[in-house]
Formats: sequence, structure tokens, C-alpha cells
Amino acid sequence: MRLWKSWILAKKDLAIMRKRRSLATAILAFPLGLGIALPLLIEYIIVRKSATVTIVSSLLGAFPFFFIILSALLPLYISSYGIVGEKTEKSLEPLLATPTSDGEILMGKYIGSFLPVLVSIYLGLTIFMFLTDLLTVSKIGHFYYPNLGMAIVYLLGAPFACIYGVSTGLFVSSKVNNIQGAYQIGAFSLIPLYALYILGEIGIVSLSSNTNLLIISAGLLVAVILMYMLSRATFNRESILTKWK
Amino acid sequence: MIAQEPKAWIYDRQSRTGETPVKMIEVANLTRKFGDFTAVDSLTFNLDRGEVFGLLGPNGAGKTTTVRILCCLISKTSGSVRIGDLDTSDRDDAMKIRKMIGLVPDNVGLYDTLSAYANLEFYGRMYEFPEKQLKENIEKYLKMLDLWDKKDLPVGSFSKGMRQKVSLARALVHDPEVLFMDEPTANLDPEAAKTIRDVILDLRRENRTILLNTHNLDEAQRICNRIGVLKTRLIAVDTPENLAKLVSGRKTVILLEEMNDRILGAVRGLNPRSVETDGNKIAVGMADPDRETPAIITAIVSSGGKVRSVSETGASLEDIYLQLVRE
Ligand SMILES: Nc1ncnc2c1ncn2[C@@H]1O[C@H](COP(=O)(O)OP(=O)(O)O)[C@@H](O)[C@H]1O
Ligand SMILES: [Mg+2]
Repeated sequence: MRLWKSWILAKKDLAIMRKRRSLATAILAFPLGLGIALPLLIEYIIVRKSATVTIVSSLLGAFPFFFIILSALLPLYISSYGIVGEKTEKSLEPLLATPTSDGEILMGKYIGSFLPVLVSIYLGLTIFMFLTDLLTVSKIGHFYYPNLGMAIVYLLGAPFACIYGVSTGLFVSSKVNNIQGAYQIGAFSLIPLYALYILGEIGIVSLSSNTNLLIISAGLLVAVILMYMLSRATFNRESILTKWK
Repeated sequence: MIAQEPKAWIYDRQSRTGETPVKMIEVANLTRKFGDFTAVDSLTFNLDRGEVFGLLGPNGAGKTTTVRILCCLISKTSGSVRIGDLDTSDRDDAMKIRKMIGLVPDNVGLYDTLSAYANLEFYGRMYEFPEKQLKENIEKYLKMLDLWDKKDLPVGSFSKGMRQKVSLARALVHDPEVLFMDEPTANLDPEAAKTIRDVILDLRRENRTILLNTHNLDEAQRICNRIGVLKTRLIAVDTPENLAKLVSGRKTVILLEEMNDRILGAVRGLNPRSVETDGNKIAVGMADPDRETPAIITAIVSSGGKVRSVSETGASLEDIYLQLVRE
């Protein structure tokens, strides 16, 4: 595997993404919006409802999970774009004709979707932490973030969720011919995450527990490995050129 | 000893300049099936270095399938394909083959949002071509194809002909030894088609080895050294001239003042290959028109016919092609 080759491909995909204004805007806007909206919500709850420290803390514990969901959702869109785009532009054949292996091309697609999403998720998370600390420090008495839970989300939860979204997008878009379709079918793969969120909201699973966050991350890692194997099997030149529609 | 050295040198030089044929493409018994359907059946043909070989056949003949196998894009069911001294079915060889060949695919497949320059730069890098030479080549080919002043515009804004030119430039930026072109002039306006054909002729002069897929007989005849007529199987492989001789479809058309049975009988009496009449016109097919035409004219005149004009129809290869493909 020559990563520099994958990098050339990823850079090309990033350049295309920059030209697609709506796509680039969406990738930046959602995490940043969340990073600003969630702290404001907390501020509202503190000021208007004069919530107790315990309520504020439990809210704060669950909010980072939003970012895990977003980390899986956004790359779904980009990677569907990446493959469906190449399919509709019929650029896969000349690409496969270059001296590049299937694995290198697939890795390029992974990097090109993973990087922009992770960068913008990190930006959003950082703004979220910064603003939250600023708005809650007087109530809680100390800076709530950074903490261990956030570290798990940063280093494990978000990146794994992101790769999970990328692989799902790549896999689904090999079967579907339009970006919307790939995105919608791919969104089904996020049902377990939504379910977890609802379980968290109704108090069955604590999403602020570090142990639970670690278990969720491990589950995502397993899903990532399975999805990678699946996309590796789908993404071989013979089937791309003779079976993909 | 000393006297022998130049000889060896000459031999070596000959092989390098292609004066002594060097096999660049060797296809033997190539077969490809899709399920139970045989798309390409036992093809055998070779290309020497510097040859332009046309695969001529109607839609669905298996041209694209053949080129894809030769470019190591899809696998073959059986047979063998060698490019240079490399084997397409060997993984490592396939990677080396892809590096030394250029492909003009049947669909241009460019990135519409990127500029012509960015498209070519991306592919040049994927071909691991040195950056400095790549820049020179991009400039050279974009200028050659009259696209240099549009190099920074997105390819999506280009006309069909312009996109095909970019696709051709893409196949050339890394200076490949062997070129595969899958119907490069199909559905283009005549001017763009001519530009592309002219470039192919230039490449032929540069001694590049080219496999050209086409369903255009005239194009194959004008550009190729040799033509393979394909319809799942290779029906015939030869030079355009020899193919034309295979079934001489050339006809002499004689326009008379007046046509009658006596004249027709006299012409038929000479046993030409075919005789057709259309009003006062008589079209005579002959194996050797140069030798036989005077005798035919003499026969017409001596049976009282008055000849207005004599002409030849020359779309000979087309007849052969249609005949071969229909069989
Ligand atoms: N992936 C495929 N699956 C099934 N049949 C195919 C596939 N690709 C090509 N064929 C069939 O093989 C035949 C040859 O196709 P092709 O090589 O594209 O012909 P050409 O390029 O000469 O028009 C056609 O009948 C086509 O339908
Ligand atoms: Mg074809």
C-alpha cells in the first residue's frame, strides 16, 4: 500500500469538494452550529430554569454524543458523493487504468472523506467545550471540560464513527446511482446510534458514563472493521467495471 | 572482433528504432465470457512496435471488452495477453503494464468541476510521472489540441469535442509506449474528429504502438496499418489494401445513351463478377477492373451501345466489411 498515491487521490477529492460550495458549507456548518447551539441551550437552562448543578452536569455528559452521531452522518454524504460522483462522471475506468491498486484507491476515498469531517468535528467540539466552560464556570465552580469522557469522544468515538460513516457511504454508493439515494439508505446504518441516544434521553443508558462511552467506541470499532472488509470486497476493479451499474 | 562490433550495434539500434519488428502486443486465443454469454471468442493477433492496429466492428462486437482486458482492467476467461514482455494476468506485471500504457476510454470520464489542467495534473501524478516533465507535457498537449487558453476552465463547461481532446491529452501526458483508444471519434463533430485523427497520425509518425477501436471503416482505413474485423471473433486481420483485395467490391459504372438486352447480353457474355442495371446505367463488378474494363466497353460498343461516361465506385472496403460482419 503506497499511501502517497492514496493521498494524491484524496487531495483531488478535497479539491472537488471545495468547488462544491454547498457540500463544503454543510460539512463546516453542522459541527460548528452544534458547537455554538448546545452551549447556548445550556445557558438558557441555567439562567431561565435555574437548573441544579446535577442537571447541568448530566446534560453536559450527554451532549458530546451528538457529535458522535454527526461524525457518522456527515462522511456518509461525502463518501456517497465521492463514489457516486465518479460513477456518474464515468471517471472510475480511467482511474483504474492508472498504476494504482484497488486498495490504494479505496484508501484515497477513505482519507478524502474522513479528513474534512474529522477536522470540522474537532473544530465544533472545541468551540463547544470552550463556550460551555465559559457559560457554566460560575454555576459549577470549575471548568467542566476537558474531561475523560470528552477525551474518549475526541480520540475514539468521533474518529471511529467517522470511519464507520465513510465505509457505509462507500459501500452503499457502489449499489446506488444517485447521491440522495446513497445517503438515505446509508442513514439506516445510523439507527443503532439514534437508538442509543433515545435510550440515553429516557434514562435507560447513561451516555455520560465513561465506561459506556468506551463500550460504544469499541462497538463502533468492530462495525468499522466489518464495514471496511465489506467495502474492500465490493471495491475491486473487476466488479466495478462489469457489475456496478 | 573489431569488425563485428558495429554490426551488433546496428542490430541493436534497429530493434530500438523499430526497423526490425519488436512485438509489443501479443494476444493468443483470448476469450471472455459474461456468465454464459461469450463477448470475445478466441482472438489471436499481434502488434509490432510502431503499428496502428484498428479493431473494427459494430456495436457489441467486443471491442471495449478486448481493450479493457489488454489494459488490465478486467480479467480474461482464457487465452493469453502479453504487453511488451509482461503478462496481463500477473499482478505485478499488470501494475507495470498500466504504467506504460495510455487509455482513451469509451466515456471521457473527466472530473467536471476541475479545470482541464487540474485533470491532467492529477492523472500525470497517478502515473507517477516526474513533475517537471509532467508540466511540460501538459502544456505541449494542451497547446497541440488548441486548449491551452482554456486550461483553467472547468471541464464541465467544455463541448463534447473539447472534452474528448482532454481525454486524449490525459492518455498522453505520461508518455506511454502503447496507446489504447476506444472509439475516440465516436459522436464527435467532424472538425473535432479530424483533429483527433490528425493527432493519431502524428503519433503514428512518432512510432507509437496504438490499438484503435472503431466502428468507422473510413477512419480505420485512413489511420491504421492493419485492421482486424471483429464480431465476437476476429473475422479477418490484414492491411487495409489486402482486405480490399479479399473481395473486390469495386465496380465500374457505365452510363449509356440507351440500354437494351443485346448490350446486356454482350456484357454478361464476358462473365464479369456481377452485373446490375439501373435505367441507362450498368454497374459491372470485376476481379481486375483495370484489365477487364476495356473489353467490356468494346463489347458494349460493338453491340451498338453508345457510351456516355465510365466511372468507378470505390467504397470497396465497406462492401467487404458489411459482407464479413453479416456472415
Ligand atoms: N459487464 C458485462 N456484463 C454482461 N455482458 C457484457 C458486459 N460488458 C459487455 N457485455 C456484452 O459483451 C458484448 C460486447 O460488448 P463490448 O465489448 O462493449 O462491445 P463494443 O465495445 O464492441 O460495442 C455485448 O454484447 C455486451 O452486451
Ligand atoms: Mg465499446
